[in-house]
Amino acid sequence: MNAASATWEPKIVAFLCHWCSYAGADLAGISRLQYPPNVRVVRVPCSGAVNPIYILKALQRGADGVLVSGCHPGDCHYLAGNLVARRKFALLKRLLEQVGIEEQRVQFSWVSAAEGQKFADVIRKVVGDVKALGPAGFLSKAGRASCP
Amino acid sequence: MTANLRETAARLLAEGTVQLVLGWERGTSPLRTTPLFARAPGDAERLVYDPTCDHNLSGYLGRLKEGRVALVARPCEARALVEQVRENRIARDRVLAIGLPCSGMISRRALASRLADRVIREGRLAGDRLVVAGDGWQEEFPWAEVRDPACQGCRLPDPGIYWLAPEASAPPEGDRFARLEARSLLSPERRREEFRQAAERCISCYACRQACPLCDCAECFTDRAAPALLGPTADPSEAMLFHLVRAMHLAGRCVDCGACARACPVGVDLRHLHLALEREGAERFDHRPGVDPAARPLVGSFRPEDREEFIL
Repeated sequence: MNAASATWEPKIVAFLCHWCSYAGADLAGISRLQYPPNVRVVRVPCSGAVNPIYILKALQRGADGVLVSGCHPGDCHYLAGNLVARRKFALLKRLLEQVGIEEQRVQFSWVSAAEGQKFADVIRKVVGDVKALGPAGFLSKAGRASCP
Repeated sequence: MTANLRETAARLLAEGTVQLVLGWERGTSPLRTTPLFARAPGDAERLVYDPTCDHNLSGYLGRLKEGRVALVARPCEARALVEQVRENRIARDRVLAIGLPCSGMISRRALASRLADRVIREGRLAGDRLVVAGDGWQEEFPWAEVRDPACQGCRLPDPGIYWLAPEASAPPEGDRFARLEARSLLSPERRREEFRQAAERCISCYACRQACPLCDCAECFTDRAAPALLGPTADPSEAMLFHLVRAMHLAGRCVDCGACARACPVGVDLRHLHLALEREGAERFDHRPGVDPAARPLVGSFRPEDREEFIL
């Protein structure tokens, strides 16, 4: 799989919080909204439960981009999980910048259970951004660039 | 200074004020020191203190069994001590910090690069010059040239938590974040290349982790078998993941003592990762590591008004 290939499609791993964004994705589906099929969803209890190593590991195992999405501030099922996550992600962004990983490879969003349309829009944006960047490859492990 | 330190340590041990004095003694090679665990007043005679004392001693505090210990502390040890107290790894009243002034530590790498392959048989610091000698040769270097780059720009606040306060030492000149300013001009490609080269050189010995006074999890994520977060291969991506996750774990905790870079056997220096996170913590979240033992942790706490312009 290389950038020159006209048929290349990015693989995006999306960590969605169970209480908001996962339900938002569900709503997008129920509402028959169209969005690119490049995203592989991993349901997590809370955006605050997303350890940065999950994100890095996804990139290592062949993801071209990662999205983490949780509840809007104030809506967290665990009260403040998303606020803790917000800090962690701000720091992770700065760290990835230092090692030259493009900003759009790892993105964050707040999507509530009522925002099916926003979920579709976010996916469209992330897939478009990563497509423009091309395959990741930098962190990926030789010979193991294959998440299904 | 050394005589004073020995006398103080011997007295503390003889009086029974502390059961252990943690300091440095001469190592077996020239310009080398090794940590000294002085348990009897007589041991205090072996204490030394000079710029070759480059281990950060605070890393030992969490595992000591002694009831009360005295720590020979430069500002680097003192800041790490603050972080350890903050994280409840050791009770503050168990440690007497014997404060010492510091004018920076030696960079063996800088020295080695100036000596090519010549072997040092003898070395000492004379005023502001470092004198080294070997078989049939002797050479002098200005101290500033062979001082650790970590120390060149040391402007770190001294937490001032000493039991015996140091005489004031002139802080070295320079801006600690200057290195990041220079890096901000590098293209992403250049940064990736730099990081890849560091990861290829890294032999995953984890000496950086072992030397770090704050990398003291009971079980490191690198050693965990279930889930195995790092694979058993020598692929550079494993080293990249290790260094990135280590930087995240030290965010808001790293006191920038430089022990990791000095401990590295293959010359990997990724301190700019920690420094970038420290600056982000300071600018964005008003967090300064190693200063306030009552501070909230940087990662794991929040303010409702934290900025979130990067979130879609």
